[in-house]
Amino acid sequence: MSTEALTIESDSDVSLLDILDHVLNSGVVIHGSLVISLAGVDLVYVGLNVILTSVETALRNLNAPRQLSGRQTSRALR
Amino acid sequence: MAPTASSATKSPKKATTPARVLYLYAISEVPKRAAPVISAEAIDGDALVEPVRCENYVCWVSRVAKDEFADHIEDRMQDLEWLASAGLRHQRVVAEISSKLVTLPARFGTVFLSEDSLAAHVKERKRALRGAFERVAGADEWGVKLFATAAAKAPATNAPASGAEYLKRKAELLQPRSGKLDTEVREFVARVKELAVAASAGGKASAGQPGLIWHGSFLIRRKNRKKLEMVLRKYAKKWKDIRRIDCSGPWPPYSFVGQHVD
Repeated sequence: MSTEALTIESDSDVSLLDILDHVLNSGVVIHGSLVISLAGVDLVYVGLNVILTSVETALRNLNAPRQLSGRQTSRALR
Repeated sequence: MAPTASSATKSPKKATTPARVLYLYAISEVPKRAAPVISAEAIDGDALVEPVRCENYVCWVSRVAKDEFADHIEDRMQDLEWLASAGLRHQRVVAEISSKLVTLPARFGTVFLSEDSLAAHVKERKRALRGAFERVAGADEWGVKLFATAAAKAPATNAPASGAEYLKRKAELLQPRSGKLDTEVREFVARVKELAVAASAGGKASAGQPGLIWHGSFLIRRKNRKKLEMVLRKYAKKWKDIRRIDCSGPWPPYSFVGQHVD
């Protein structure tokens, strides 16, 4: 599927970093009764790469029961 | 996060209890038939993901604990494990909705006190939302990252003269070099941009990845997906020994709704 220098990941096996990159990057802003500022998140980015490995492990644990229960991750659009 | 299955399986009450707020995942077009059932886990791992009709749209929400998702969400977001779980759940719900309907992902952490306040705010932004829907219809977000590979990092094959020089070289590898992009890289980015409806700078989360030269997101019409792949393959082949291209997607159009709508 991919040459040595190219990887194309479907959304079921992207890394946590990619997920946070996209999820936290933007999204439509609707001014709610409470809109939570993302300003505080900047602090998180500082340590993100350092702690990433442990978070990936945490995620694997989080995912494990889902796979056993047969739930599907979202499917890619065709 | 103890499961409270009995309360979660009951049909949603029309008024939220004081301790619950509405967590908004996304706004979609109105489905032609019945609203799809979303099977992905809710943001709190427990609630239902429900469609709420607002104006000509459907808002996808979960009724979650006010304490966790409104009063203390900024504290929770400092907790990486919490952020990782919530971010992943948010993504799974939005991706599932987006695989079925034209969807505008909401900003992570958007919470409303009631259906009335949600409806009022959607109404207020009706026109901007329409424009955003037109932009993202039939298109997906793709993430592209360029990395310097081992071979590219090695032009200085001579051994570092000192420990300090070794550390300096190592530090250079860890710093993405923004600002002084190679002509070839700029040409590549321009080439992908030609295929895209819009382009956006990459998120902060992976900005510090070792060897990262450039990253960004593109909004690509589905009919151009093959063309995107062709461009990526062409450059991957050309750069075989010096750079690696990572492409992820299709993503819901996270990076292409906020700045235009706000």
